[in-house]
Amino acid sequence: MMAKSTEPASDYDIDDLRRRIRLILLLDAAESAGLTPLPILHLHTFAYMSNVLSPVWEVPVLEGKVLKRRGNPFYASLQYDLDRLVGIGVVLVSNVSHVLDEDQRWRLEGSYCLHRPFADRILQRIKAFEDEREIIHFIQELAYALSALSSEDLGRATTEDATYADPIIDVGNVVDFAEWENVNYSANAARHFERLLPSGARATQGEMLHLYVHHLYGRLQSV
Amino acid sequence: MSEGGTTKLGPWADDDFVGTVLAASAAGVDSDLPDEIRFMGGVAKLIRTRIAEAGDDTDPARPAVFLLEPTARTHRPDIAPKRAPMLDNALTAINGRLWFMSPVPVVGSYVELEDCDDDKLFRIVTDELQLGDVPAAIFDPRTAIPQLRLYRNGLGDPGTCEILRVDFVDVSLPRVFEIINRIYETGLVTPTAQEQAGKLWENDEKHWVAQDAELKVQLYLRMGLQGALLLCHVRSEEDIVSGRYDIAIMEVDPLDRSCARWHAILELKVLRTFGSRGGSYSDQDTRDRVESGVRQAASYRNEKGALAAALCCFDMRHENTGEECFSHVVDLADAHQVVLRTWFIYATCEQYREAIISSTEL
Repeated sequence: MMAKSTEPASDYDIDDLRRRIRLILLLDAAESAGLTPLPILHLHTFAYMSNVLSPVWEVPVLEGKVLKRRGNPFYASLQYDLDRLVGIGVVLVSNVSHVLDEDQRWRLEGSYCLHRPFADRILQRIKAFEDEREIIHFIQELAYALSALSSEDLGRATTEDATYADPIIDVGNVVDFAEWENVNYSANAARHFERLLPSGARATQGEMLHLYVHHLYGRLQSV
Repeated sequence: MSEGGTTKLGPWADDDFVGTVLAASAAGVDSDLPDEIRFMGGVAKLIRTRIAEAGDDTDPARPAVFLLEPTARTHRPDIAPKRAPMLDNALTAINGRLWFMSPVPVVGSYVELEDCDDDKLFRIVTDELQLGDVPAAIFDPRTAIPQLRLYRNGLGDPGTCEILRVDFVDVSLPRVFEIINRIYETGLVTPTAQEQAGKLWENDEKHWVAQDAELKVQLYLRMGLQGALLLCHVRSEEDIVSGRYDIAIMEVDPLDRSCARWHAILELKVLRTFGSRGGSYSDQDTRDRVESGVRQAASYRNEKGALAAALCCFDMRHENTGEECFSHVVDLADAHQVVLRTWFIYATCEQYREAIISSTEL
C-alpha cells in the first residue's frame, strides 16, 4: 500500500499511482527473469496474471476485472500509464511498429524495459514499504514462473488461463474475478496444488505459482 | 476465497493436476531464500535430473558454464543466446554450453562453447563477456565422478570455489550438525556475528531475547542448510497433522517425484532467561520447553516417515550450562530416538572472548 500523504488525494490519483507503480514492478521483475524487453501484449498478460493470481500470495488484487478480447487481455488504463512512464523517461520502448490486432484495429506494438537511472530511485522508495515488498516478492516469483514459457506460449497464455479462457464469458464481456464476482478459477487452481505434492509436503505459495504455469504450459501444448 | 473454495476450477475442473505435479520440478519452494542460493541449488538439481533423464554419456563431454545473469547482458553484441524454456524438464542438452540463468532455472539462454582449455573458458566469461563478478557454476563431466564447481564470487575469483558431487549427498545428522556449527560460528554466536536484520537480542546488555528469535534462528539455519545441501529441499514451518515442524530436510528422486526421502526433522528451541520486555523465564519453563521439543521432534519425524529427528536448542540464557539443559529428557530422547544438541549464544563479545580464553587455558 502507498503511504498516505498529509493532504488526502482523490481515489483517482491513488489508483493512478498504484497502476504506475505496478507497471514499474512488473518491468523490474521481468528483467530479473530475463523477459525484457517485454512486448506490449506480454506485459498486459503479465499484468493480468499478477491480478488474477494475487490471492495465491494473499496480496490485494489491483484490478479485479478486464474486458475479454479475442486475443490477449488489454488494459486501456495500464497502457495510458505506460505511455506516460515512457514520456517521463522511466520506461524505454524499442522495436516500435504498428500491427493489425485480432479485432481488426491498428495499434502500436513495442517492447518495454525500465530506464534504470530513473526507475531505480523509484524502486528504492517503493521497497521502503513493507506491504509493497510483499507485492514485489509475489510479482518477482510470478515472473520467474512465467519465464518458463516460450515467447510464443506467453503470447497466448491467457487463451488457456482458467479464468480468462472460461467459455461462459464471451468476447466483449467482462472477465470479473474480484470486483462484483468472487470466484477466481485461476487462484483456485493454483491453490488446488497445495495438497497434491507426491512427497507429502504442502506446496508453498511459490510452488503453487510455478505449478499453475506448468499446468498452463501443458494445456497450451495440447491445444 | 468464498464459496466453493478450490473445488471451483471452471474450465480446468477435469484436468489432471496430479500429472502436472509429478512432471514438474520443485521450482518456487525456495522463493524466500537469497537469489544466489536458489541459483546454485537450481543448477545442481537440474544437472542431477539431466543425468538421470539422459544418462551421463548423451551430452558432450565438455563443461557447462552457468552464470546468474538472466538478461544475457554482454559486451559482445554479436552473441545471440538461444532461449531454452522449460529447462527444468531436463530434456535439453546442457554440456558444452554457456548458460545465462535467472535464480530459478526453469529457463535459460545459451551459446555453444567451442572445445577449449579451462583457461580459455574462464577468459570467455571474465574478459570477453566481462561477467567475472556474477555467481557462476561449472559442471565438469570430464572427471571420473562428475563435479559441480561453485563460484559464489564469480569466475573472476577462481580461488573461491566449492566442489559438489551431483550423484550423492550426505544428509546424516553428524553432517547436518557440522553445517549448523558453521552457521553458528559465522552468524549466530555473538551479537556482532548476527546480521543487522537478524539480531537475536532485544537488549544484549540485559540479556533480553528478541521476541522472534526462534524464527530468525530458523531462517539462518534454513539458508545455511539449503546453501550446503544443494541437492535437497530444506522446508520450514509446514502445518502437518501433529503440529508444525520447524525444519525438514528432504530429497526428491529426480525421475520420480513421488519418491521422496525425508532425511531429518529438526525441532528448534531458543532457551531464555528473559523475554523481549524483561519478563523472566523460570528453570521449569525451560525444562518444559525442552521436553515439549523432544516430543514434537519425535512425532513430526514419525508422521513424515523421516530417517532422523533432532532437538536443536539455542541457549540464550545467562549462563552456559552445556548439555545440562537436557538432563531431564535423556531417557525420553533415547526412547524416541531424538538426538539432542545445544549451541550457546553469547550476549556480548566480551563474554565470548572470555569463554574462548578459559577453554584454551583448560
